[in-house]
Amino acid sequence: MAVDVSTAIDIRRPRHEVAAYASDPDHTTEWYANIKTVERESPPPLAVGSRMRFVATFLGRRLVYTYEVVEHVPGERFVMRTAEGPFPMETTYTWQDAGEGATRMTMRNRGEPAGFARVTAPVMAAAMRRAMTKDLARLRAILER
Amino acid sequence: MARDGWAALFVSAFRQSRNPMVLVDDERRIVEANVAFLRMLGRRRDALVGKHLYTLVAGGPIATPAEWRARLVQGHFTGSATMLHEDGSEIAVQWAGHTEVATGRRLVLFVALNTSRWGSHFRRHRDHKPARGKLSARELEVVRLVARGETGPEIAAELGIANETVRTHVRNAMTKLGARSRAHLVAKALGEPNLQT
Repeated sequence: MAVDVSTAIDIRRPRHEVAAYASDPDHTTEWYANIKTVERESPPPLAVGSRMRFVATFLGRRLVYTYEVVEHVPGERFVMRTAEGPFPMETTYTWQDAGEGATRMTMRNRGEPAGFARVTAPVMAAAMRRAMTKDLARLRAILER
Repeated sequence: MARDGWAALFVSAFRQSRNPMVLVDDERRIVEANVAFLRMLGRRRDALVGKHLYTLVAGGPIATPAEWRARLVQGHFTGSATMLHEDGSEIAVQWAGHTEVATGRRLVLFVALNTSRWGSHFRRHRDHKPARGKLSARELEVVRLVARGETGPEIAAELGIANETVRTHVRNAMTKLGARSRAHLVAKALGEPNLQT
């Protein structure tokens, strides 16, 4: 069973502002509770092929992985995929206008667990959804400050 | 791309899951059990590890050695079993089993999908489930009327007793017959010649 979790939030800020902040790895630790550090492995600006090394925690585990940007449409869509790490995952951000200068940001995380992890995929998905919901709420609090 | 990180995440999910889970080897010996499983059966981990899973099943193994080997090959299977709580009571469990080769040996992960609830409790006591013939005359009478489709107030009116008393007779009959619902009680009644109307 795949893990495929999407959450969305409306933020009362313009789309390009939300997208620029959320996709900037220098801001990642400000709104992701579980990501402890981010190091750029590629010089800015961010583009397809850029790599970032993350240290994160999930379900009580320390995870170290490198994400590579595989799609980047500023203000619309941003996709990162595991280039090196304990398991393949993909994270997608999309942004849409939500009326009156607001933006709907959707975050999606997906991966294909292997072995017994397939059986516990719902547990992982639930933990992921809880974390993603909190992270997006934190992002909104920062941007609407 | 490494994929072994999933194994580490599985261990975390296994430990944290609210679904009772138990890992057994290909001889059905318990290798690991999560907290939810231990809680469900009221047992300690060190009392379970190394023990055959079927020793926790009322009536013993539900699969012969040959059937078990066939399920191992099948890889994914489901079923139900009545499991024994430490205090001697029983818990009906619907489960799913998944076979994988992990750390060089074949293991089976059992996940409890549903467990029986009995009133506000999770389990029912074995002592409350004697043979069918032990229903009292009044309970038999009430069960026959339930099997006819009569409601509690109708039965109460017909027998000249309080509705609450009817409910008590039904509850006691369900306990004695091991029925999980009124429908189950009726099904059992219809399957028992002595109870048929």
